[in-house]
Amino acid sequence: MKSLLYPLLFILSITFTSSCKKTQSNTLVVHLLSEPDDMHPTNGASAVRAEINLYTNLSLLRVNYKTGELLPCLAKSLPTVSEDGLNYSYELKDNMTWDDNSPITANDIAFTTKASKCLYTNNIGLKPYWENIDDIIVDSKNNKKFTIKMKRPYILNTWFWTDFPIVQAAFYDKQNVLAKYSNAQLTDSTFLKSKQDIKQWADEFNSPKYSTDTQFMSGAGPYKITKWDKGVSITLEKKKNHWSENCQENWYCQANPDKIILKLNNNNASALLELKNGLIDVSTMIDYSSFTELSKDEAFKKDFTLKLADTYNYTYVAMNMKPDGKKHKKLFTDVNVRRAMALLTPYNQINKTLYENNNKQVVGPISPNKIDFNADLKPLEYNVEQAKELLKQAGWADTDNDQVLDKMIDGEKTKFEFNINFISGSKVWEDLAKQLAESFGKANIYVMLNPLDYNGFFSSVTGHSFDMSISAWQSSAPPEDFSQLWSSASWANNGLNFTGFGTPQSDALIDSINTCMDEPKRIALSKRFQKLVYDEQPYIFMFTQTRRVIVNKKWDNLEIYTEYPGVLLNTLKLKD
Amino acid sequence: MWPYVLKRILWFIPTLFAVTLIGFILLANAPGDAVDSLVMSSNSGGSLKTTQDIEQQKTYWRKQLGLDLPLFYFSICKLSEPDTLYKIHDETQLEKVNEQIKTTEGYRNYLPKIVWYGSSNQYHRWLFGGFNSKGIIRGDFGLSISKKEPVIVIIKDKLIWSLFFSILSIILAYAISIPIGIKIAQQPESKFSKSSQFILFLMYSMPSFFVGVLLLMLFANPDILSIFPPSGIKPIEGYYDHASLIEKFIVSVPYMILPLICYTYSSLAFITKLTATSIQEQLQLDYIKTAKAKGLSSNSIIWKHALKNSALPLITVFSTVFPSIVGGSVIIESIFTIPGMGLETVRAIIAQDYPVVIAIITLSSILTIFSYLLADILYAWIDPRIRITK
Repeated sequence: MKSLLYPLLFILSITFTSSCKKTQSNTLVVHLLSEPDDMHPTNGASAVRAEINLYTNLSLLRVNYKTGELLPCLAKSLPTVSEDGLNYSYELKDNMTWDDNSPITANDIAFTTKASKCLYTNNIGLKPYWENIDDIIVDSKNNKKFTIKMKRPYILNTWFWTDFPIVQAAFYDKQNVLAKYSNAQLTDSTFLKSKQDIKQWADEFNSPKYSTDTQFMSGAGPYKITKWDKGVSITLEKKKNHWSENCQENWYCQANPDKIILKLNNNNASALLELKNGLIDVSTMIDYSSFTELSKDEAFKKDFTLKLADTYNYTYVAMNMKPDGKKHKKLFTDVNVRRAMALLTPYNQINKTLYENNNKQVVGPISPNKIDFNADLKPLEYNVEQAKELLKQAGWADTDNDQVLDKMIDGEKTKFEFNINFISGSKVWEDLAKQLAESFGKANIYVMLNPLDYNGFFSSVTGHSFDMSISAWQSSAPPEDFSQLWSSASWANNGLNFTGFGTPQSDALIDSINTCMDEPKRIALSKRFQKLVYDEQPYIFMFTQTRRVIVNKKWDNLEIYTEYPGVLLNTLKLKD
Repeated sequence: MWPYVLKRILWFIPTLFAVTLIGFILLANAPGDAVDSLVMSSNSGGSLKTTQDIEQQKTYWRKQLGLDLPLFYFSICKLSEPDTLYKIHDETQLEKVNEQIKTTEGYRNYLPKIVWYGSSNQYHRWLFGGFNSKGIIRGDFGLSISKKEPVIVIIKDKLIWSLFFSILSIILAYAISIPIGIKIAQQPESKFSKSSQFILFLMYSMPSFFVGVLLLMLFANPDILSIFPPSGIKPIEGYYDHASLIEKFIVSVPYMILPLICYTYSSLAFITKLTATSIQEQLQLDYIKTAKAKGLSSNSIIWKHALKNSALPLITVFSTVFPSIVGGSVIIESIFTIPGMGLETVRAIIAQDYPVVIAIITLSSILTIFSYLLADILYAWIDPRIRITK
């Protein structure tokens, strides 16, 4: 039997080694954790889609990844802003064209806006982002010049454009339908009812071909999606005879690899082996333990660069500050209790056991990597005795010696016991919940773990039907708009303010920040707001998340950024 | 037999109707809301979202997707409840209204009523079409809510891979386990029997996620043996242009071996054990003794007589395994990055993409019903004593 086994293995290895062949030539293979739901130019919303758009599309403005500031892209320069902060005048660069060599004009900007705002287009989650644009006035003498009229002054009125690709009017609206109507008309449901031409255009524009068929994907960027093998990979190929061919001045027009293949793999074990086999050149998505394992592998380190990069994202544990008092008891209404919970959190132990000591503790609602971070706020340290003292001050005591704290709330004896919600399937979050439960137990607080599927978790937090829940926020370089997560309105309308944080004062401060165009002044206001949140402790602020960057050393010119996606694939150069 | 088959096929219709309806109702009552997920799905930074903006958008898209309609043709509810209660989608608001009804309506809370909605309901639209679908009756499962693609397109690609792996693994499992099972039954005390039963028991006890990762770590790991590719179903750059189906298959063979082992090993153990036990039972029966007395060879007795009579449990197993090919295997697909139905089902459930989920339920139901029918026919074919005229 043995004599048969070895020749068989030999033959198998000879036959199949060919299948493990690494890609030759100037092709970059990148690890992808999940594929985008769609690649529609205006209707999609996934993060992966946004990353692909960096290479296949251009925006009016981009983020300068090195400085975290705004960078003109299609625009010649940053806009001239009127004194009231409502009118933004732009001029487009001359040398940039669409794939059919027609120039990119202000009409394309106007079309992109109309297509995104039109009530019939299928970008439900994104429409509110366009809501603040009132109109776009194209200069009648120069179609490279235009003014964007905003409804309200807002800190993200310029930053907003970095998120959205500009699409070609002639490609997506061949009959020029939208040009006949104003933005106001396209958002008026009564007006739209009688306009069949708009409905027909929208049905065509929303059709799946623009979302999934690579033949119907057109952008001004240096790459084009040439193949989308669903559930397997997405291939981007460098355009030939494109205006960006000799452009190296800014990251967005560089196209060093001839081909970028985004290869799907959502399993850590096989992704790790793909890296070890040299089948993947770039990964920023592998888990902490695999990253640590690879960091200790000297043979692997000969061929790969491994670096941990900061991000603007952070994990948190939210506490329900405004429970109904029936289904969910009023456990966290007192700031002393919330503070005590933060003091009972073993940050160092969690960081060591779950994140291999790679994460930084956060103290407030903003990443320490952002310029407006309030460095005066000191991280809370793990201190059981101090926590117990705060709980005592809040009226919690074990009056019946059953090893669980209790207190009279609304005339009813209430035990300090509750559920920690988290999304099931994440080992890290389950372990985090276990460690928190164990630590809270030291102060005689009884905790039950409550893993939920995504929808259950999401509806529990937005419906305010939870005690404590673990989650994370993803953020980026632009100035922070605190309204979504922290305004009272966002709690009242079941938005992303899960905890119930918010007072008229904090709401007024958020409004001031959102309309403050003076950067130093805005930063000062932002710091004040962070202090306000820090004092109230609606969250146990946990850690900033680090990105695990692994890049094959055959690729040069590697720069790692805090902003998503961390590595700009188009700028990597194959070594000679 | 044929009237029976026809009768069973006619029973398909109400059975399918019931299954899809149950699936539809379960999904509609699952926590969360598809429109909420769509509204909140944006990954961008801050915005000026207001309650009015969000509600306007939700209302518009709920209408567009037909989610503003009642769920079914009728509902049975309390006499106190208004007929338009289905129009409230906000759970908090719904709770408030229910509370108000409870406290103000007195005895009417205890009396039932039936509300008739007619054909303007979500289930009818799914069945017969409307808005962007021709309806399941015309073979159109509609559009996926999250992917905005026709459901049939999404499912078709994934189904091919799931069918491929599942059917191949079923064939392999039967082809390998029946001869082993027979050998075990023939010589139950032999070394081969004992060792193979131990190995099979061990295989049966091992979960597929463990075996999958173990296979990867052993055979796709440059630190040990790097024979097979660690993930995917074809080379990174795809097949070469104009490759024929056979050429594609040959290129994909190395990618298929580890997943196929994973798909097959547990059913292999189960079917072998079942075959062995079943054959052993047959070998004790009088007709086998008669056959031996008549001087028939051992192989002839086993393959011609005993196997045929012991095939009934194997057919039963087949009829339960067969429908699962539509569902795929989430674990194996995830480990080996196979774009199959398992991962798609999970994705659709998480995204509350109900057209996709219902399509999968419907296809699974069709296969289940079909496989039971097939099993009945096979029973009758193998054992003429089984009559299927009723």
